[in-house]
Amino acid sequence: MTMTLKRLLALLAALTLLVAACGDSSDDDSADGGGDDAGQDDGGSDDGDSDDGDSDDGGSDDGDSDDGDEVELTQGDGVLAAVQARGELNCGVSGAAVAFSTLDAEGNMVGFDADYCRAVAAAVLGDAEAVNFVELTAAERFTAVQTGDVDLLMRNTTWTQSRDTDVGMDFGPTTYYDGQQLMAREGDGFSNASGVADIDGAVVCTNAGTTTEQNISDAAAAAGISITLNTFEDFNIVTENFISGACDIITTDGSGLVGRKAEQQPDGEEWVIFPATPISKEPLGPTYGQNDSQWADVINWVVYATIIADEKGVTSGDVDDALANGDAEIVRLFGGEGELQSAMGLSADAFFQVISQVGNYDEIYARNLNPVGLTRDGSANAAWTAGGLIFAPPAR
Amino acid sequence: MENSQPSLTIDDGVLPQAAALPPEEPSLPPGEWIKKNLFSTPFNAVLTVVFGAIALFFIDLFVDFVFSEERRWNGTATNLRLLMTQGYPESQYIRIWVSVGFLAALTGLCSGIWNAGDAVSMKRISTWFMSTGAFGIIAIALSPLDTGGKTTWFIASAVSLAIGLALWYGLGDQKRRSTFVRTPYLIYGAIAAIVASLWVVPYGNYTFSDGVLTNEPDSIVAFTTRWPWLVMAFILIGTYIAGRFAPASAARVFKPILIGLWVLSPLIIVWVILRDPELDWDHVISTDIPMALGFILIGGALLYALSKPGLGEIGKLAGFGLLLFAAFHWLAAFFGWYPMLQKARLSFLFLALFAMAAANFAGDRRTRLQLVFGWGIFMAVLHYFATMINTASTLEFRGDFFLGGYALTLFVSVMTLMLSFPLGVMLALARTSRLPIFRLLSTVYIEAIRGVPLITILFFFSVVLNLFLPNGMSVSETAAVVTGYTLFSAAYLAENVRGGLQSIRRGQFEAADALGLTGSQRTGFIVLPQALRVSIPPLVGQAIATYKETSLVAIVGLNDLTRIANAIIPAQSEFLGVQMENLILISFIYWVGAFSMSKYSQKLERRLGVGER
Amino acid sequence: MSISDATTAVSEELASRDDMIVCTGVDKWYGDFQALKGVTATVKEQEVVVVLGPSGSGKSTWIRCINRLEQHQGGSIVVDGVELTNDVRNIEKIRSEVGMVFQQFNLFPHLTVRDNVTLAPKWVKKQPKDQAEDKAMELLTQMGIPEQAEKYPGQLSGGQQQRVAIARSLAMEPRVMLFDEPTSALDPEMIKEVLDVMKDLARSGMTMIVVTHEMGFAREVADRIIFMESGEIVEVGTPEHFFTNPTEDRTKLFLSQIL
Repeated sequence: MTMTLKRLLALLAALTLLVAACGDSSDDDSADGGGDDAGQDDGGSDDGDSDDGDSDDGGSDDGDSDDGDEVELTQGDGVLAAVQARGELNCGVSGAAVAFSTLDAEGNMVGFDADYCRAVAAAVLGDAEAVNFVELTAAERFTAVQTGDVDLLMRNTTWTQSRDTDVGMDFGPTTYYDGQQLMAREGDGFSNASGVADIDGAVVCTNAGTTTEQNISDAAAAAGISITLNTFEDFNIVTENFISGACDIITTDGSGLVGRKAEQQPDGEEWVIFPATPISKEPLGPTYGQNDSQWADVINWVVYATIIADEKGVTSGDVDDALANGDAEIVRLFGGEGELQSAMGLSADAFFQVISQVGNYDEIYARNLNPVGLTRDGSANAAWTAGGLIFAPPAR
Repeated sequence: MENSQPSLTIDDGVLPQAAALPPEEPSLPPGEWIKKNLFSTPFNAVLTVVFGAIALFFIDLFVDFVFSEERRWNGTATNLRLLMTQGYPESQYIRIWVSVGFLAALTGLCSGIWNAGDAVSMKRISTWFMSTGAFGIIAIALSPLDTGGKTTWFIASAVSLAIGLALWYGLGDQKRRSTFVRTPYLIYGAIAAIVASLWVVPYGNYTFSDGVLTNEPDSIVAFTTRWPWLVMAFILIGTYIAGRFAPASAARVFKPILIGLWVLSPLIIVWVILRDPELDWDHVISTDIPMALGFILIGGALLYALSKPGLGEIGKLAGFGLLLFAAFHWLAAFFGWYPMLQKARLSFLFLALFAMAAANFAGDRRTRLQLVFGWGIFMAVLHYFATMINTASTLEFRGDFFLGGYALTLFVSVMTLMLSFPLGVMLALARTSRLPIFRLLSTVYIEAIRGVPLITILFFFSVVLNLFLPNGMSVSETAAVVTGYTLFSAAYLAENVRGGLQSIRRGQFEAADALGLTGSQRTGFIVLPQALRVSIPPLVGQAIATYKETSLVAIVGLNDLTRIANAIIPAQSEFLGVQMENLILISFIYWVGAFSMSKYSQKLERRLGVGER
Repeated sequence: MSISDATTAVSEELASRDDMIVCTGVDKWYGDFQALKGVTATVKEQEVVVVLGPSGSGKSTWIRCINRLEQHQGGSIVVDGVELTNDVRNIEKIRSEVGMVFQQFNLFPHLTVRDNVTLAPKWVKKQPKDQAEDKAMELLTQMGIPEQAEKYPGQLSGGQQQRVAIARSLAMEPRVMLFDEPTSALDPEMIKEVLDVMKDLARSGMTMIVVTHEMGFAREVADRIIFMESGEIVEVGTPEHFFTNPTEDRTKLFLSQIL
């Protein structure tokens, strides 16, 4: 028996040595784990009961492009350095927000928000396609930023005081000024000039569990009228009920209503959207974790760059020309002279890449929002020069 | 058992479809059958007419709904690829066809080698043809096809009806009842016919206007659809023939290999074929292969030593010591104390489990070597897949996970079932264990999980799990959700298996004890096989529920079939609000999966019932 | 007491053999009910002992104690020199030497007849597969059912099943066979085929303890008969002594009811 025991101990010792050897090799080697798609590695781990561990591999090994830790030490520990080291931007989007972020039939993420993710990737990494779109539900969006799952949230998130302060988010410049409106049938006696006071006694429908429900109740109370409020699980069902006549009026953000009118208004019927001044303010824009001003500056100036380019009439088609003989502000913005971008930790041509690969504000707007019937003219999203709110500080 | 009475004993009377026609009565011609079963008394005639009319009304309602002007089916049709695979790159579609071909070959070979399938009497085949024809005529009459389309499909239905009648009257009564066609021939014949029809029948491109569905001329299915399916049909039928006529000696060798391939097929398809890992050969040669060999050889030697007869308690202690050692590595992984390849941690865990089982293989050299070889094969497979999974994919796909749509639905359900089955069985055994600590832990776990809704668990795992993990450690959402779903499903599975365990008679335990079997042998050879057999109906019910309830992952934001149909496509600018159409389609997809599972389980129960009685 | 009287009636030759099973004052309670009250008996090597008694007399309980399917709470049981204690190794050793045949056969319904017979030799005795299967076929031939090897227990008649159960026990090459009312669950026409097999087994020199109601078998095959009632051994003796000249009143009463 003692003989056997000794043999067993010897074997255990040998195995321990092997462990040590493996530990070393895992430190040196890069191919295991890592790769340019850490998400897939994690996905892999759910086979073989090793969820946590696999990703831990990715963390402790130096993946060939995933080697965040060491680079961070030399470049600071902000999100910008992490993104540059990773070579990919993790951008949180909805994935089911009409015209803002949706999957097309080929599975590509498209939309206004999706394009702003691409714009940030173009500025930070020089490649508009270096984006890993992370689809987030409303419930998990802020957690995803806090845990670092996403670097940036472009998920039609309204800028509010509590989110800015209490929830621990910071907000970039508003890219789209939205606001809650109502939609009704012209045949029922409504017009674009109607107001909340005109809907006394109507059946109003909206989707459940959002602030739209609260807003319309408040507005009705303020106007001293009574309405019947019906809520449904999602806005597709709300619209179906509006078409079938079960709802007199439906309400949500104006951008949503315009899209529905453009796509689903039956022949021989006219839908009208009112009141002209929305019953709520919904400024939508980029959102990121607070207290990282370097990263905040990058995001903010990507948005400003698109606005300045629009203001100066520079589109993706004529960037080279603008760089060669445009006005001074554009040349500075595109890295033709000065050190403005380098000071931010970006390459000098960062914003040149943004405009050339993604386009200016107007292009992004037209590409994504015109197809659903949203136009800039006369809205809050017109340029400040045209009476709107889209404004950027000067680049100098 | 599989070969028991392949034909000539199947009687129509026992099969539910033919329940209206008891076997002892002479089979009635269709006209008399209708008279006897539908219009036997005036009251029955009234019932038949009233309920027939109600049924027709609802069918009509449904058809009107499906073929309404308001339905925008092109939204669904355009997005079929999104529904099936989300963003799987089109250039890599060959991988999907390779996977389908792999499964087709396995199916064909297995059904050939095992000579699977029943036989169906001519009588039933003729009734199938007749009812298809009759149903077709009613459906077409109700459908909004244009006159040309209606005529074509009327003719097709009439032909089916005529074939049925011809088979009925062409074969004499006695002959009709005793002529059998083996189901594989029927199924493969039908598949061949459907695939062949892709080349001739104009299935595609109907336009719908003014309430009439018009077929555009020359609209047969695209070439890129036609010919892969043709290849698949050839593979299926070819491998079936190969398996059917393989020599018995070859079949003997192939059977275990085929079973192994079936078990591994989800891993092979998802991680090797679909994901196309980009192997780094330097790393494979310098690290992966030596490490696997090290575990195989040193672990094998250890197991050989531990299975020495008469080692007794020392063997058990060594196994348990190894288990603690392995558990320590996982703890270390969690707190990030020292780096170590995940594969090594997994291998140690399994080495410990094998070591605990080694005592059961104590005996002569041959038995002990069996254990060692088993270990070697297991390690080789484990290391192979661990390497494949951890290697970067060559796919140009950005996102949380490279599968979406129906592919993700299948992935989540298959992985959940594969992982929760062993876990559930272990929980069930622990709950019926004699050791109070196991009983307590298992009961607490099962009752805790069963008291919580699945959606809560999914939310917890998808949102909160990453907050609980130590710094620098994170889990992708798909992995987190599959983990949560597995833990949930295992608790229910455990209760199903426990029901089976409790149905095992005391005499079985006593007989096993009296023969001197150890506790684990008694469980493994006597109790579990019988318990699992008893549990088949609830287990299949659970599998169907798991498959269908994967749709809940849509709520936590994974792009499975339901979310793409319900949220993604209706949000596309060009197909805004196209939702009902998608839901009808995916209902059908879910139904096909669930219905085939339940049919298969009925068959399995019937077959296993033979040994039971 | 009469027990010693009866024991003297056993042949000198038998008395000279080694002890196979020695039970001394075995007690067993089920709750408050005492099922065995100080059972003391010795079974010699190659002896066939038939245990008779009315139902509920503790016969089955006693032989189930011998291979530890029931745990006795007082006294001692020694099988082939090994005392039954809580030590797992002793239990395993004794079980591999003591075969048991049950009233309800207790075959494993999910295994073929051949697998039923070879399972324990392969996994407990670690016999190679070929050897175990050869032995199984030999035993099934001996039982007269070699052609049933590939069938499942559910496809066999009761008598055939019980013979498979006997073969399954014999495959472990036990030194003692315990039979717990092996024919009670059988239809009358099947009883004989099982009894014949048991008779052959007895003639081959197997040590056997048989709990049964088959008086013919007892008279023909038994070396000794033990009569139990209310958890006690009432009388022990040769069949001749037992059937023709029982000493105890209780035995007489039992026989008068049965015969």
